[in-house]
Amino acid sequence: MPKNYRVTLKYPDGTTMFMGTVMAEEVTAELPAQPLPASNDGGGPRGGVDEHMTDPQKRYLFRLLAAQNVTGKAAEEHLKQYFKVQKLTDISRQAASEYIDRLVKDKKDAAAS
Amino acid sequence: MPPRPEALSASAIQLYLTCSLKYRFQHLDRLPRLFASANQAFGTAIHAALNWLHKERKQGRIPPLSEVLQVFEADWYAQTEIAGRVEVRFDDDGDRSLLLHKGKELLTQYYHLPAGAVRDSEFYFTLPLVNPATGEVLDVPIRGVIDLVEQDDVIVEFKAPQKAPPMSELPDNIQVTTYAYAYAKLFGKPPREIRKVSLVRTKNPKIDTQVTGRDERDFERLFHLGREVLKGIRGGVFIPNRGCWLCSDCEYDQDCREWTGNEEVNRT
Repeated sequence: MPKNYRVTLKYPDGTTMFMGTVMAEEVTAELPAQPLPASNDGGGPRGGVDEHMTDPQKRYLFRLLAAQNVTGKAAEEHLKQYFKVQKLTDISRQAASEYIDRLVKDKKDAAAS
Repeated sequence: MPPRPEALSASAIQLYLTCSLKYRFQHLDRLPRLFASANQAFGTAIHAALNWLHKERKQGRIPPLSEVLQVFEADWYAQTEIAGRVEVRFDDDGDRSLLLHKGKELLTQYYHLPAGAVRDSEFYFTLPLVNPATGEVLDVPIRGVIDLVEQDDVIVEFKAPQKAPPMSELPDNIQVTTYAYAYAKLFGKPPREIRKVSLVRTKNPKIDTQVTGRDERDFERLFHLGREVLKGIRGGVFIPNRGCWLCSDCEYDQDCREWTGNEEVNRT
C-alpha cells in the first residue's frame, strides 16, 4: 500500500530547492539499474555520458564571477587559467561543480562578514 | 517511444496544444537542441538575473543595481559568446548588443519597482494532479517552477516577450493556473494574487503587469486538459502545426520538415 509523504529539500543556506509530495511503497524485487535519460537542454548529449561542463554550469560560473566584478573576457581567461584548459569546453563537469561550490561558499562567507 | 511521459508541466501541456509534434521531438524523442533562438537566450538571462535579485532579497540583502545588471550581462555573455552545446542564433548581428541594452533597461525599471517580501525564488514542485470535483488523480504528476513566491500569498510569473501580451489570454493561461494549483496544494490556500509580469522589449522597453486569480473550476479544467493531453500522447497523436507562432525560431524545423508520420501505437 503506497504511503504519501510531504518532502522539502533545502540548500545549505536554507533556501527551498524543492517541495512536493512523494508516494512511496516497498519494493521487494531487485530492479536492474537503468541509465538516466539524457537532457536535451544543453545539460548533456543524447544517449550517452558526457563528463564535460554543462551549459547551465557555464552560465552559473560566469554569474558568480560577475558578482565578484570579474566579467566578460576577464572571466573567460580566469576560468581557463584556473582549470588549466585551452577551451572552456574542456572543463570537466566535476571540476566545474567543485568550483561552483567554492564560489558559492565564498559568496556566503562574504555576505556573513 | 516511451509509453508515457514521466510528468506533465504547464509548458508541456501548452506545447502539446500548440504543436504536438514539437512536444514529441522535445519531450519523448529528446532530440538534441543544436541551437536556441536569441529570444530564448534573452529570457533565460533575464530570469537568471531576476532570480539572483530575489534570492539576495530573501537573504535580507539588497544587491546594488550594478550587480544585478552584471549578473544579467554575464549570463548573456556565457550563452552568446562562449561556445557550448547549444549555439544561440541571431537574425541580425545588431540584435546581440540591442538585446543586451534592452535587458539592462528592463531590469533597471524592475529593480526600482516596489518589492514585496520574498518567500522563495524559483520554487520547484512536483504534485499529483487531482480533479477537485471528483478526487480523481491523474497517473502522472504535474511539475513546474514558480518564478517568485512572496510572503503575502502572491505568486509572480515573469516573461520577456517582444510585445505586451493581451489581457484576453490571461484567463486561460495554463501556466498561471498550474502555479495557482501548486500553491494551493502546498500552502493549503489559494494565492491571494497572481501577477504575470512581462518585461517587454519593445522599442521603448516597459514593464507590463497583469493581475489575476484562480479557483477550483480552473483547477478542474486543468485536470481535464492534462488528462486529454495524456490521451493524445499515449495514443501517438503528434501533428505538426506549420505556421504557428512557434515555427519562426523552432529548433526542430528540419526534423519537422523531414517528418513522415508517426509510428502506430501498440495497444495490446
